[in-house]
Amino acid sequence: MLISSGKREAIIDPAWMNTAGALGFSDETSSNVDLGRLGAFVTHPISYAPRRTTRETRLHDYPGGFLLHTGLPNPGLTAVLRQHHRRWRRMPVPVIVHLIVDDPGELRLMLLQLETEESVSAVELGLDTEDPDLIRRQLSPVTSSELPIIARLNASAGWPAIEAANAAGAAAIGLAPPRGAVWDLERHSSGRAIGPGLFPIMLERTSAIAAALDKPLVVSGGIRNAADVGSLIHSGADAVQLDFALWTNPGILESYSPQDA
Amino acid sequence: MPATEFKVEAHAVDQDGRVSARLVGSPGVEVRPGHMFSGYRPGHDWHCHTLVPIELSATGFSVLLPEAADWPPGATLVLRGPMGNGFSPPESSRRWLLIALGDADLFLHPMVQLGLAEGRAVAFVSDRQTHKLPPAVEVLPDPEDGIPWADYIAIGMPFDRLDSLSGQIRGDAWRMRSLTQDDVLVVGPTPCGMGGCQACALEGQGARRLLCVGGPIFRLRDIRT
Repeated sequence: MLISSGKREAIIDPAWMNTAGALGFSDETSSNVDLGRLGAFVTHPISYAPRRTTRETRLHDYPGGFLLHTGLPNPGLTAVLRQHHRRWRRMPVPVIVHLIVDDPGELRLMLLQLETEESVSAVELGLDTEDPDLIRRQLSPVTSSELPIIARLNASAGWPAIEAANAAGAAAIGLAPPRGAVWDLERHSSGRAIGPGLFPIMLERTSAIAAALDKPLVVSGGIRNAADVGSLIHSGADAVQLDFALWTNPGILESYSPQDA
Repeated sequence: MPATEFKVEAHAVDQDGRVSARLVGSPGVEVRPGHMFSGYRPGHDWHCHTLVPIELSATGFSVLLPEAADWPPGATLVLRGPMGNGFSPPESSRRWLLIALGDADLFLHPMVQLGLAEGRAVAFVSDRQTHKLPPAVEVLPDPEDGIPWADYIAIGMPFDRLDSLSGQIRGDAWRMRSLTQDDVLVVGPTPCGMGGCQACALEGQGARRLLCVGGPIFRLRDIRT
């Protein structure tokens, strides 16, 4: 998969990578996962200012998967660059930095910092809204960015939201599993939904969106094995992102051949 | 983090209805009190489960069966670990106080066995009544009864009690201790078991630590929030 900002390109080959939040900030998991088998490495979500871990329950099991709620702890972009930029330069695959998008002004500053870091090939923006107007505002710095940008939306986002991200200059659209909730201790507890129960939803959304999208589509959610990867590619995904499969089925990276797509 | 195959040999149920699984695996894996594993059953689990041995033997160890796990006898598991170095009491310590917060009482039982085997005096304080302690162990109603007496303290606690522990160790009873030789075993979710997901991150003393990489045992001084 090739993504381009018009000024810089990133080639992701093979067309799979980890989901942001699955493999840390750089090579922390390299003794368990052969990072060289990925097409790209996506960092843990990073914000402009430091974020602390949540004080709420972090993991809820349910049939077919689990909810994960960490609060997306990270020391802030400046500290992450200081701690990890040398490791990024030594990574065997392109590095995609995942940014948490809160404020367009902060996003502009983060993009400027990353453009000068030679080890960064692309940026992925985690969008937590489905409001097209808010998406346009949040992504306003994208058109002036040199780096190719993947705009990652929840799979529940409608076509207006996808169009807004597309029109804002995203080099690719990412589809992420929607958030979920369970009833716990007399209240809702929410988190990122992870697990094979999501796969049919992600496959259906891939099929619906890929047909109408004129940009690369990156899909994550529910992938258990090589057959799931093949299904998504056949359904129109240009690349996929793996999360729990890297933790409980590390052999997946050896079992799929891109030529099978 | 090394990954090793283990087999579930049998289940057992204690007087409180808690189900444990006895695991047998590679003889090359040395397990000490306070070690932790992150394990899954291939094809059945979507994340790793945190496992803390509650009983050790030459041929394997027992762990509490995770609630969401389908691990019948005969099942093959993959375990990452052991994580950490285990509890590290000073060689010269003779009087151990073991404090179990929440449901962590069973996690300290290997320390009970070790302490008695090495001829140390062992006192135990727990939030819950525990039936399995040998008669030689003195059960105390309150940690403050044992803190001045002990020359080594080991605490076992779930993740979500960290703030409350930090508050307690500012109290008068703890003031005379340096906290540099006392250990706390923190038990929390480790869904990736390899330092990737940050779900097991702890914050204290200006640093973020991961249970599955730098833990699960910390010096008490290092986890104050």
